[in-house]
Amino acid sequence: MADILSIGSSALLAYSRALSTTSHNISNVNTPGYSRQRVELATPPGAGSGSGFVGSGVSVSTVARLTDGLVNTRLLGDASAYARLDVYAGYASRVDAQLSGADTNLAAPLQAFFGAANTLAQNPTSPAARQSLIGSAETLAAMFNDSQAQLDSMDAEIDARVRVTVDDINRIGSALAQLNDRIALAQGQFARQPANDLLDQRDQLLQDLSERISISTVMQDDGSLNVFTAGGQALVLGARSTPLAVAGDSYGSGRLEVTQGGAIITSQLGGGALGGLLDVRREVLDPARRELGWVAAGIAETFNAQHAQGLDAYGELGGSFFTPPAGTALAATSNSGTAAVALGFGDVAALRPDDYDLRLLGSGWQLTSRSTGSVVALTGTGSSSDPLRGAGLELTVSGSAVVGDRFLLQPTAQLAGQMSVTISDPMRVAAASPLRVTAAIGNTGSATAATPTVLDAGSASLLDPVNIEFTSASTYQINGAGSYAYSPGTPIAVNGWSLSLSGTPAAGDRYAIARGASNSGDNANAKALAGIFTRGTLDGGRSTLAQAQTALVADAGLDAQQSALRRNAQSAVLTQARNEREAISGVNLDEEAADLVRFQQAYQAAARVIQVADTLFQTLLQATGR
Amino acid sequence: MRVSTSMLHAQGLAAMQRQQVALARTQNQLASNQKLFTAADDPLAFAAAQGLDGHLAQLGQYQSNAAAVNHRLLLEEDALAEGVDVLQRVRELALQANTGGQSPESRSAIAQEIHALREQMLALANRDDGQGRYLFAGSASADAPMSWSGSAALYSGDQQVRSVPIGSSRSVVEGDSGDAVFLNLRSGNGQFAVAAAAGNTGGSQLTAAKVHDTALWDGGSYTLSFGVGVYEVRDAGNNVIQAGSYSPGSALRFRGVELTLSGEPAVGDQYAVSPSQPQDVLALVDKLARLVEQPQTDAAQRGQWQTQLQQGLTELEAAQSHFSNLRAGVGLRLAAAEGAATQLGAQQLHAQEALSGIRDLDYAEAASRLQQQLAALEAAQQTYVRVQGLSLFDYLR
Repeated sequence: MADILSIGSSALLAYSRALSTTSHNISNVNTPGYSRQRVELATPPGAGSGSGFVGSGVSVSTVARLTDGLVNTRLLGDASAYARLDVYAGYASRVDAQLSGADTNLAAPLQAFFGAANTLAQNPTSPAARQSLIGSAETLAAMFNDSQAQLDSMDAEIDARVRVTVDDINRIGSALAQLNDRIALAQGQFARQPANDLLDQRDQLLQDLSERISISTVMQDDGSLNVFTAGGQALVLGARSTPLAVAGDSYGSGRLEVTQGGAIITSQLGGGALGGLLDVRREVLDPARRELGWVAAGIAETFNAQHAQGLDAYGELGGSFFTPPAGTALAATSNSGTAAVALGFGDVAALRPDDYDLRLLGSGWQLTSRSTGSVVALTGTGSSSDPLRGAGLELTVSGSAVVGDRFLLQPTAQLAGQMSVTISDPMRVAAASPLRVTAAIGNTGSATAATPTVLDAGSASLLDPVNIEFTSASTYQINGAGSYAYSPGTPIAVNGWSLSLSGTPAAGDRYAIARGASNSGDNANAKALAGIFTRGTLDGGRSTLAQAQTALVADAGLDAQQSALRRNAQSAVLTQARNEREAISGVNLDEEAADLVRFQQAYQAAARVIQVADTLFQTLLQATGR
Repeated sequence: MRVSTSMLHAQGLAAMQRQQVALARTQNQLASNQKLFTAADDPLAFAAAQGLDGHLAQLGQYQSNAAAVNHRLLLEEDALAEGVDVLQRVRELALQANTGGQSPESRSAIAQEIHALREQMLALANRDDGQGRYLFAGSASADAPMSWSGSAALYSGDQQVRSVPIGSSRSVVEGDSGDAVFLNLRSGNGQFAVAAAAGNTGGSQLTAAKVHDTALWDGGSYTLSFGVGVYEVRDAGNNVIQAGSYSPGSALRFRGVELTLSGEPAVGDQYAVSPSQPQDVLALVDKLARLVEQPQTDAAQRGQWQTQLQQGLTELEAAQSHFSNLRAGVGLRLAAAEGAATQLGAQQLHAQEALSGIRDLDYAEAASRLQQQLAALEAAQQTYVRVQGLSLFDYLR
């Protein structure tokens, strides 16, 4: 009797546990990270006797947590990859929208600007055309400024998110360390039975962590878990976590770097939201800013150079139209010398949208491209009269540098934000050629002279009057002196300009070259300004400004498109991994309902066994009670 | 494979989300008639479209240049046409003055009219372009370029004429400078001028003067003088280079020059042949006006008068053909500008077609896609509701 009672009560106990586990499963159907649990039933060894082993009921061996470590590990990796791509694609699409969106695309204002230059060429004396050129230039500059501001604000946002993400990683790391402690304690206390719900919590924290940074884990004997970054830096070791921190870079550029224990480990981190933030900044945002500034430098430098070769309505040589751009050069905080570097631009065609490292070695200055790592040949000494020249840059070093000093050069990264129009008086627009040629009325040769071309706007004698008189069809004098050979088709170059004749001059033919008049109706320089639009100016003369701008837009578009495609692909992979985890660990309510019925029936049957035991006992009492 | 409840739920939701994203995109495309919104939609096509945009903008600029140059060339053509008319009228008046029955008074009246025509020509040279700028001033177009000194035109403009591009490698010159139009004439027949000496007493007059052999004409100055039935030609150094007998009406040839005189020269009468000098059109008209007023009382004066008239009419003819040539040049440039405009229009059309193919939406395709996506979304919603409605708990009573 006692056996039946104890067998019955063991079943009651077991099925009550099974029912409560099922209820636990049902109640956690929507809990993130919950793994379904199952009561594992076992048969205790029966009591042996001469007539065989008699069963002694049922016992609960453990409450198992249904989970697969391999699936979970894969899920961590997939979640990291997805979180990285999600952040990446988000920013890439914002950069793309900024650069190619209908209202922010720079192509239309660029076209409008050169359209205004062309209108000026049509009607160089019209104050309205002059004003319109300045106005459209201001619009263009403002839109470049806006683009830079938008990209800069994305950069600032990325910085802020890097801080928040690092904080999150540290918070999760310390929570993981605490959980490690509790799990080790709990499992030690209860005969290594799995602390299911704590383990779920830890898995969920790992999941959260992997969405922020790519991690690897190593299980320890005591049930605690060590967590490392993909680069091998320990984040959690047992009950101890090592926090990450952020710090400015070694050039004081405002760029944030991730550090651990004071050492910069940015380049060793990857995956997760943090990896996505760092990667998208390096691969999309920084190049976009550099290329944007590159186009801005191309516009400002090329337009300024041409504008300086023209004559404004006051009869003066045109100066700069746009404020001359200046790049950023930052000295490393560790430099022991006092040198500072000023960054100007030389040959725009040689300029690249790149950042550079400038180092003083024992053998002299060395310029290294940051994107390719290749060394750029430098000429010059670095003095203001003979700056270091290379890659379209002109570097002037002031102060004294010590061997080992380093500088970070960002020639174009900030230029789009600097773009501005420096002239405001419409009459200062240099539309006319600075020189005009007059053929003497009595000339008998068939030669006609074209407007002189300026070769060197800086020449001091550029605007001096010059008389050219042919002493024969093949020789000429300048200002009544000398005898120079003339060959048809070869321009005559004097004082920084050159004059082309077509046809054959005759002896006695005279050409007077003089400074252009104020309020001139000439459009030669306006034409040249408008012609910049179709001229190869960047990239060694292979790209027009519009093509460079289009390439920038297409690059950003390609980044956005590719990262969105990769994100969608990764999303499918992640869904697959989640489904696999759900297949093993997820709660199915129908299954639990069936279990409820099953366990309820077993419980009821066990109760019936108790009742039978009671009846037997009563029967026995009645039989013996008389 | 097991399926968990939350997975079923998430899957249904994700399916609806996906359909809605696609639907939102189609809706946006249909509402804006655009296939591409940002470069990410199709980077290569977007770049191509942007390149075409730039190309179209450039073509539009050339179009607008062609229209502007057209306008200015028409202004110039009007002025030149008027110049031809003025010169024609001067010619008629000069010939009228040469007809018999003219009294000194009537000739004076004719002279007055020719002076007025000179004024008209001056006004023509100072015509503006309707925007406060002078047509024939070169780049110094802010001030009136031409003035009359009393004997010659003074040009204060320059020779800098504008050209504007009407294609990637074509440009058209917008005008002609005032000195090319009004100053760039030569006296006589363009090679040499003939003048009867003031002391001539005979009744001979020049009827034709031309270069019969350009290879022989050396551009020197010569003097033709007559004796009784003979002539001789001396060069600038007073050396006799040719002599012979002379009968009125026969052509005299020396150094490539051919002169035909009519009437009987007196002994000692001289004609000077000198290389042509630059002469402006105003001076030419003025010269004719003053010629018309000259007295023609005796045969010598008439001979002088006729010689000058012959030279003047030759010059006038040259001036008329100069203006006509300029006008023809303007006409050629107009034709070039118009031709370019037509060509640019065709190029624009092609570029627009290409652009539309890249960027514009195919409505039929988008509309059928919309239907498909709507159906798919409905299916996803109905599936979700049906699947979620099933639960074993419903049957546990």
